[in-house]
Amino acid sequence: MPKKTASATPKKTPKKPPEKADPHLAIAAEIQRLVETYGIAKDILEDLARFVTRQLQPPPQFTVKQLQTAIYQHFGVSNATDLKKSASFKLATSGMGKLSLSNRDDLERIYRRHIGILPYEEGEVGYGCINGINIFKYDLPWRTFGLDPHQATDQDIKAAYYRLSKMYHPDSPTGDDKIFQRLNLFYKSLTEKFEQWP
Amino acid sequence: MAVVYVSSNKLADFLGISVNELKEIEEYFDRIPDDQWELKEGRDYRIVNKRSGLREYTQSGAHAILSFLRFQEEQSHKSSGDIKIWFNQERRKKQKALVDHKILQNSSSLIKRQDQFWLSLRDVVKILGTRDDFFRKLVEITRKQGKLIRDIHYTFFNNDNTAYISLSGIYELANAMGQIIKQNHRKEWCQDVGERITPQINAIVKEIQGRQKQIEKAKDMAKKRDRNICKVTQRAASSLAVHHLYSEAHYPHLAANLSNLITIADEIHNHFHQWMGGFNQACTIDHFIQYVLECHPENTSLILWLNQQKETLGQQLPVGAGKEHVLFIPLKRVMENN
Repeated sequence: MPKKTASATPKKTPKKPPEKADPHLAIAAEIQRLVETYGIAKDILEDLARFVTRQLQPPPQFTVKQLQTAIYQHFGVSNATDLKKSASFKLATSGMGKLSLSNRDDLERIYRRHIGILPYEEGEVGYGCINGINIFKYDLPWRTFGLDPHQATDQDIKAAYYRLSKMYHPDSPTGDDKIFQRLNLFYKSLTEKFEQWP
Repeated sequence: MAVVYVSSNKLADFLGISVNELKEIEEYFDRIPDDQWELKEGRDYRIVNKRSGLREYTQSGAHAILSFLRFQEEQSHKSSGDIKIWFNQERRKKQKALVDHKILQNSSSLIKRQDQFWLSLRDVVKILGTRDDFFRKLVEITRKQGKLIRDIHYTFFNNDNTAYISLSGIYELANAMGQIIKQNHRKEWCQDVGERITPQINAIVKEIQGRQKQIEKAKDMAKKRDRNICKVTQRAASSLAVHHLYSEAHYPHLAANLSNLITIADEIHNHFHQWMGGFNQACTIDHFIQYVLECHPENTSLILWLNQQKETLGQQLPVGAGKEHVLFIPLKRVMENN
């Protein structure tokens, strides 16, 4: 049987995939239309859009291994055994309860407290999120109040606290006691004076 | 920096020779004055036992012995670098012991709340060995870094103005301190505080817990000593109590001291405390002597015995009147969820 040569098969011209519109542009355009048509605040719609997008396409999370490596690096050790022995680690995590170094939630708690914002939690929106972070997961008062610690004055802190308090005070229609308590704690953390110096 | 001395035993062990061999070397060094093998008292060693001539060596003294060994038979494989590292390790060991001592002497404010230990600001300043103004600066720096959060790193208890710092707060402050101070020995001190504070606090808590057992043991011994009879009525009683002559709550440092305990009938015990105005009153041995003189004057031997105990125990200050020591704070202060 004669072999089929390559030239025997008719050449197919590759079909160009239909051009997909950039979903971000489409969402932005729709937000603009709703703002103009119904007079809804743009930032609310943008928040909603971000929330929906994160729900449908959550950003990739760190694996347990990645979390462990980051924590080992932060405390200057190379494995779990050394970390458990590390005096710095013991001191830094005192008060965090019993921690399992293979448990994802515990590792994320350590990361949040001692390393920083998990990349996939940056820009989070939804309940308890202010200025792109969840205030129940992170103890970041400056970020919550949207202030630069090196520039902000006591007046700036007070103004930022009042602005958020108006929104979250339990007496306000948009109020929430839990969030308000947290804001209070952050405000105290930035302003409270230790009166009784030795 | 303080001179570090190591004992002859340790040095011999480090050099891989026996103590007798080290003595022979010392004798060889001392035999001919002003030769190339010289050990100078004060610079290279100090005498710790004049009768036996036992020495403790400085780094230079240890180095001289090592040089001699290498010159002689190259017995030792240790180098000068090893000696330097070894002395550095010894110095660090001693510093850590000092840090432990500093923590022990300055943690009378220790308290466990919200599942973690807290120390007053005053105690933390002393433990870190710094000045108030520097510590204030440190607090501001840590706060600017957003690492001083109320109820995690610091707190105030019961409307008290005293700020308390948690162990994780000490971690953040010691870190910030390590970043801004320049002197190496102060940096090392901060590092050592960070390393030692958790194990030392745990050891202190264990000791406090053990004290309760010691008190029970002492009470059993008191009953045995008093032959299980009431020392006031000098009769057997259906129920006996072991009374603290200096009250346990106000004189905790005497709580496990046998001389501070007396076996009495429950009935007498209750009567004495009623006479005092309640169980919460800070009773002393003087109160008990007064009580016996008033209510049981016939028991003259007991009055003699109580005066003996008073002499044995000496003058005592209640908690709060002098500096409280962490080892005598009430157990409930360091227990979970108090």
